[in-house]
Amino acid sequence: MTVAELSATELVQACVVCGAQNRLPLATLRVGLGEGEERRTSTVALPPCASCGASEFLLRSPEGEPPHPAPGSPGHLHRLLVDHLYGRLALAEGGDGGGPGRPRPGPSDEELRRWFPGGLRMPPSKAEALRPTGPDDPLLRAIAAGKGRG
Amino acid sequence: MADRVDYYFRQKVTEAELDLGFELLERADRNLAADIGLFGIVSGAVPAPHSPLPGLSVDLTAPARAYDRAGQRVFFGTGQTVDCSVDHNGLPTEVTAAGNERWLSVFLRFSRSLSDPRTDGNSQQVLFRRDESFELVVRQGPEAPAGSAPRPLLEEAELLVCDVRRTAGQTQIVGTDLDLTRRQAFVFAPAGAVLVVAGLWKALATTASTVQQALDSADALLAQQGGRLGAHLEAAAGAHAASAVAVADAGGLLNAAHVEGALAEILGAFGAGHVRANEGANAGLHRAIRQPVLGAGRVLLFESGVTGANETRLRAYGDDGSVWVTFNAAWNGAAWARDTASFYAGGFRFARHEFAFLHDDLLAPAFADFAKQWTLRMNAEVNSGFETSGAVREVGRLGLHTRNPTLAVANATAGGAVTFRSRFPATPSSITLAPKASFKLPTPSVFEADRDGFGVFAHASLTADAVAYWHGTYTAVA
Repeated sequence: MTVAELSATELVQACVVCGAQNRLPLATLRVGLGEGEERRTSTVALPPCASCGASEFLLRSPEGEPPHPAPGSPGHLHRLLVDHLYGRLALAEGGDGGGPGRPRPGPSDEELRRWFPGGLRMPPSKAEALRPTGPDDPLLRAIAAGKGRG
Repeated sequence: MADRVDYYFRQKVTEAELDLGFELLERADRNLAADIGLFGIVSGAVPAPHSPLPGLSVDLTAPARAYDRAGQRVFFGTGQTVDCSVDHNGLPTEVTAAGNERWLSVFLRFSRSLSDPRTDGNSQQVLFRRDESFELVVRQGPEAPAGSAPRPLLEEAELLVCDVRRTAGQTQIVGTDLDLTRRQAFVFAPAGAVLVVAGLWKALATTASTVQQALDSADALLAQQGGRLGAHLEAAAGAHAASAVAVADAGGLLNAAHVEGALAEILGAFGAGHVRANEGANAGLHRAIRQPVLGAGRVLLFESGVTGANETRLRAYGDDGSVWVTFNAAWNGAAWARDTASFYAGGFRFARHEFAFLHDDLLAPAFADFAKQWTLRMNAEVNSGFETSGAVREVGRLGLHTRNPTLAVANATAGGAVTFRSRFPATPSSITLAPKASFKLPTPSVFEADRDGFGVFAHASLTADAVAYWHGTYTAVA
């Protein structure tokens, strides 16, 4: 996932292209992009990655989006963080928090506490937890011996 | 009764006359024994190797009773040991040549034991008591190659107890050296002299009038029946109707009570699912596999160990909506359990309205559902591609190209749309664009994203007839 952690003042971004972690002050982020008729308020454009130059766009959930089909999944948690970030930025910019195409508030505090009891950060995925720790990792040896994974 | 003499008044009885009286009585006694066929060893005198240490002697059991052909009684009350190393003449019985043998015969013979010496009127010494006694006589036959040595002839005045085989170098007479086949044992009455009443017999010949004839008839009948039984047991066909052979069915597995019915029952059940041997080629192979209702919930339809590797253990399940085919995943009633936690689990599921590929790479021993799934919803409004679920990340290509067709500096705009390969479970929350090659066109902006794709646009201020482009990749996360 790309938003690794969200604090009161900054966002920690894990670049999906190169894996670099970028700490982005919230004060430098803006809601929406484009001008005039092309103005789109549902997007938060992050600065290009300092390592690889990739540009990430965080997308607020659209109007009428049904509940996430897999509550608690990484996709659902990331969706909550993005919507929360979007809401905070929109309110900070003075948005009215409603209406099609206009800024809307993010998920409630109660919902955030439920899914992020330890703070607004993405938990390490189970797959990441299973990543080998080094060349001597038992799983790597098992894979090399044809006894693991595949 | 006996012949007798009539001693008379004032007869001066001589020794000979007194002896005659006893002689007549004794003769009558012996005639009675001979007349009724009382001949042979009645009991005892059973030979055995000498004990406790076998040697060249034979022990005879006691008491022993026998009568010779003259009706004379032979008796001994204590066990006897017969020395077989020499015969009754004192000649050695040993076998000198290897591979040869010699037969000895042990006989029992009547004799008298004289005792109680007296002096008669002629001043001669006489023995007053003449008690009945016995003698054991060892006779030997000639030495000859094994199997051809003749046995000593039977003696008219003696009773054969047993034959004894001597071999070269023999130091012990053992049980197998003793042969009782010629033993002259007492026969109470010949079977041919005992009458039978055959009137009600069903199987034996009713013409038999003696025990011997009855036994002969029984023997012939048994031989006949034995022959029939042997032929019956060896007959290749029609030996015994299977419908007449009961089955015990100790396990309570059959409905049939006899072999014919049991075979029909078993082959009927087997033939319903397999080709029988009498149906030609492909005997034993499966026909279509048909199954009854197997239970409720998610039930196992098929399982195979394949090559023995747990990671490819193959199973098929069915439930109310779908059929599941899995590798390394067994349904335990509440969750999928891995056969081996070191390997991924996978499979596919198909139903009347959708088809899904399944994959679980989290290596937990058990899991409620597969972590990643690709589902083709055949009856959905959008049904042209797979929908993904789980941790989904798609990387694809994106490119924009534009040109300023005017003769002056102008703003050029390029835009387009990207369609995901698969339908996401929800609108992506992040799309990242990474350049591969670009010229004068900045990184495009993303807009109008949904489960199926997103739009992009970019602006650039270009000089007259200038070209701008941006080519790169997108990474969408949902």
